[in-house]
This record gives sequence, structure tokens and C-alpha cells, in this order.
Amino acid sequence: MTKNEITFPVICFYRHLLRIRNDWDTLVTTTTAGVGNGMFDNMLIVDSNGKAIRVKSARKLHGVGPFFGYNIFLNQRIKVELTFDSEPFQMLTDDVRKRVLNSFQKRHGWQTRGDFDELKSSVENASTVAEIIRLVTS
Amino acid sequence: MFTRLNKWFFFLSVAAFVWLPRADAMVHPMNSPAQVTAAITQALFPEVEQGALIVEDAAGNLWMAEYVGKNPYNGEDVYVLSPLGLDYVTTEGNNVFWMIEKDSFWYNPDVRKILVGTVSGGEVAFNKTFGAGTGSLDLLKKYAEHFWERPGIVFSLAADISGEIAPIQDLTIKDYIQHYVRDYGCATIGEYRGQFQPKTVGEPGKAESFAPVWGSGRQAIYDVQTGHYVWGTVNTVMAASDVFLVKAAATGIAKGAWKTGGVAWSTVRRWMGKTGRAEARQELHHWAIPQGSWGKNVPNVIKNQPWNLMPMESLELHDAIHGWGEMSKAERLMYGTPDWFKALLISESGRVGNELRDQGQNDQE
Repeated sequence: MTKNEITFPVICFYRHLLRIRNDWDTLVTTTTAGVGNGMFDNMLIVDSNGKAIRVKSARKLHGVGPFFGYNIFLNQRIKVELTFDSEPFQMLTDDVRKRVLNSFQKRHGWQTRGDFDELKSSVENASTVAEIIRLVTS
Repeated sequence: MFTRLNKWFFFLSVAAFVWLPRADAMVHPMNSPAQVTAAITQALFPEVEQGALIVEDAAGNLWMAEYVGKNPYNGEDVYVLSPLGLDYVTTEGNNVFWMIEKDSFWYNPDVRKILVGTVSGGEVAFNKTFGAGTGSLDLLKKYAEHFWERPGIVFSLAADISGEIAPIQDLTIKDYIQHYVRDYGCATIGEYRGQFQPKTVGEPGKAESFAPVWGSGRQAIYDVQTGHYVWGTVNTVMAASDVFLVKAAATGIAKGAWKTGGVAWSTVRRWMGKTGRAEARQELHHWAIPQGSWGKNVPNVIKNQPWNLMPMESLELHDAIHGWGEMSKAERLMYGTPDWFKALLISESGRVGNELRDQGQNDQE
């Protein structure tokens, strides 16, 4: 799947966590610590149309920004090349919803929001992947 | 993330700039003849004994006196406290050298090595310039090591003495003084007795040193006035941290520092929103005592309190702080602790440093 085939924003699942990325550039920009922390390992990317692809791993291409991307903590902002583990496939809204609800359950941080119950209810009633993405972005 | 980083960078920069201009002024207070002349009006009048190399004033401060000639105004001997920024005494063969500011600033035009005499059997025979007397090498070394611990170098004169000084300046001392007084120099005139008060703010007392802002601020000013620029910087940063701490404490108290009544998470979360501490969409990070894992054993009344809750700017920031995102360990520590806690760490570290420093000074005495 090339970047032109993806409809942004996308939702990325890894472990019990999720990320929203609004464009290709931010999708492939991270830090060396991010790669080291396994952010891209077995990541599942689902675009706004429900088209999904699994990432096997990420490889550093080059630093980004001033000082080759290094900050004072010596953590480097980098561009990565994604290695995909599968061909793109279509995901149902319900499958995406299950993954998000699973994150709600397993990732403690969600429940520290003041509007968690409303958010959860909204996700449960969402009819499209795009709507789910919009909800968790808010 | 970068906004928070910049805030700290800005904070440290301001702290540095607060004292740097003053430090520069202290390093070169008397560069021009006019400034040297002006310094004489702020001269010291210690108890000087003619011919002595090291003199001690009534306040117990140590000086090196150098004879510069007769005062044509009243015929009395005129001494100049040799304006030596003496760091330590060293020997090379039989020669005894007084090293001036050898280990001080990276760039320091005042650094000098002055031959003060020769040593034999532990006794120093001073050169004529320094009184031509004799003295113990060990004592001389002690004087040198403690030279910079004397009180501030800027003093005021009693009014009656100031009036007598003026003609002396014009007739004699001006010519001499420019040759003998270094940038740090203080002049003294033999036989005169004057009352002088150090123009330092004085060190804060024990209890006073624990007063936020005031204690560290006063210590910072005192350090700069007495030439301890590194400690001046440390205490300036401490004072700035204290300002932040006091502000954070005041804000916290105004909003309710401690949640009483219901402390179940849902109740506390609503209360955090109502008191304006966190928006509804924001996640809260239990930074010191986690809500899960070992924190489950800690009662809600302790862990579900404002001091332990940090509003998160984003979901990603929260994940990163937990080690599931783009931050390194150092960044997690930096961004995963509240600003008031970092300020408290800086402040308390500085206080411990000051305590150790005082302890060291007491031990030396």
C-alpha cells in the first residue's frame, strides 16, 4: 500500500494503545526512542475507509530538523521506512470498534478523562471508522 | 513537549542573566583611573602595623599591606593594601609565590604570580616590597587560602574620614594607587582609624535561609557581593525556583490543595474539572503514586489528590511518559513530573549544597 492509497486520518493500533495520524509525514516521523520502545512493531494501520495494513517494523532513514534531529536529551527525531507484513485488507467498523474498546479497557489513561463515559458511548454507537477516529481524536 | 522544554530553558537563561551583568561589574569594578580614584573614597582603614606583611583589621579580615610613601598632607606613612586576589601560596625552590586567581575564571587578565620572598626552614623572608619581615610559610598559606573568604570588598567610610581623604587623593595617592591597586583593590592608609561597615546584605540566618525566595535571594546577593559567583548562580536559580514554588503553592491553595470528602476516582475527576485543573477531554497522570500496580495498595485519599495528578496535553504524551511512546527515560522524567516538583528539587538541592558548604567552612575554621 502506498501513501497515495491511504485515506487520512488513520488510526494505528499497537499493543493496547492507539495513535491517530493525519498525514503520511507524521505517520513516518518518530524518534529513536519511539522505535526502541517498539511503537511500530506489529502496528496495525487502519485508514478512514477501513482499509488496513499491518506493519512489521520500521527502519530509520535519517534525522529530521535542526541538529540532525537531536534534542538535549539526545533523543533523535527521525524519518522511518515502514516494512509491511501483509497486503492491505478491509476491516469492518465493528472490528475497529472492538480494538478501540479493548484499548479503553486495558489502557488506564482513558478512564482518567472527564468525559470517558460519553466517549465510550459515542464509540459504541459510531457507524463508520472515520467517525471512530474523529471521536478518539477529540 | 518542546513548549515545556523551552520554558525550562528560558527559566535557566533568565536566572543566569540576572547575575551575569553584576558578576562582570564585580570582576572589573575599577578599570579606569577615575574609577580607581573613586575607589579610594571607599577605602578601608584596618589596624595596620608598619612593616607587617599580613595585617588584620578589627573585624578579623586579613590583608597584605604595602608601603607606598609619605603622605604630604600630614606626613604620615601611607600603605596600600596590596590588592592581591590571592588564591594560594606555592614554592619553587626557595622562592615563595603568591598565585593570584590562578584557578578562577576561564579568561582572567588579573591572574598573576608574585614573588613575595624566599623560604628557609619553614620561615619566609619577605621581599622589601612586602615589608622585609619574616613569617611562617604555613601561616602564609593559610592566609592565602582564606583570602577570598573575607567580607565584601566594598565599604563605606565614616563621613569625618572621608573629608580628610580628598586632599590626600589629589596630592599623593592617585599616582601610586594606579600602580598598586588591582581591579579588586582596596586602599588603606596607615595610622588612620575608621569605622567601616561592609556593604553586603549579610548572610541569611539559619531559619531565614529556609524562607522561600527571601533566604535564597539574600544568599545569592551576598555570594555575588563577596565574589562567590558560582554559589551566586546556584542561589539565584534557587530563588527563581522558589518563586515558582510559591506561585504553584498559592495557586494550589486557592483551588483547594487537598480533596476532602469523596475521594473515589470519579468524584475526584469531576472535582478536578470543576476547580479548573483539567479539561474534560484531558487525561490525568498519577505521576508519583500510580493508580494501578503498586499504587492499588495506597488509599485513594492519598493518591487521588491534586499533588499526584498531572493533566496531560495529549494521549501520546501520557503514553510516552509511561514508556510506550517516543520519549527516552530522561524525557519521561522531565515531562512526567510536575514543574513544582522539579522546582522543589532544584531548591532543596541548593539548600543541601549551602548546608554542606557551611559545614565545610565550619570544619576549616
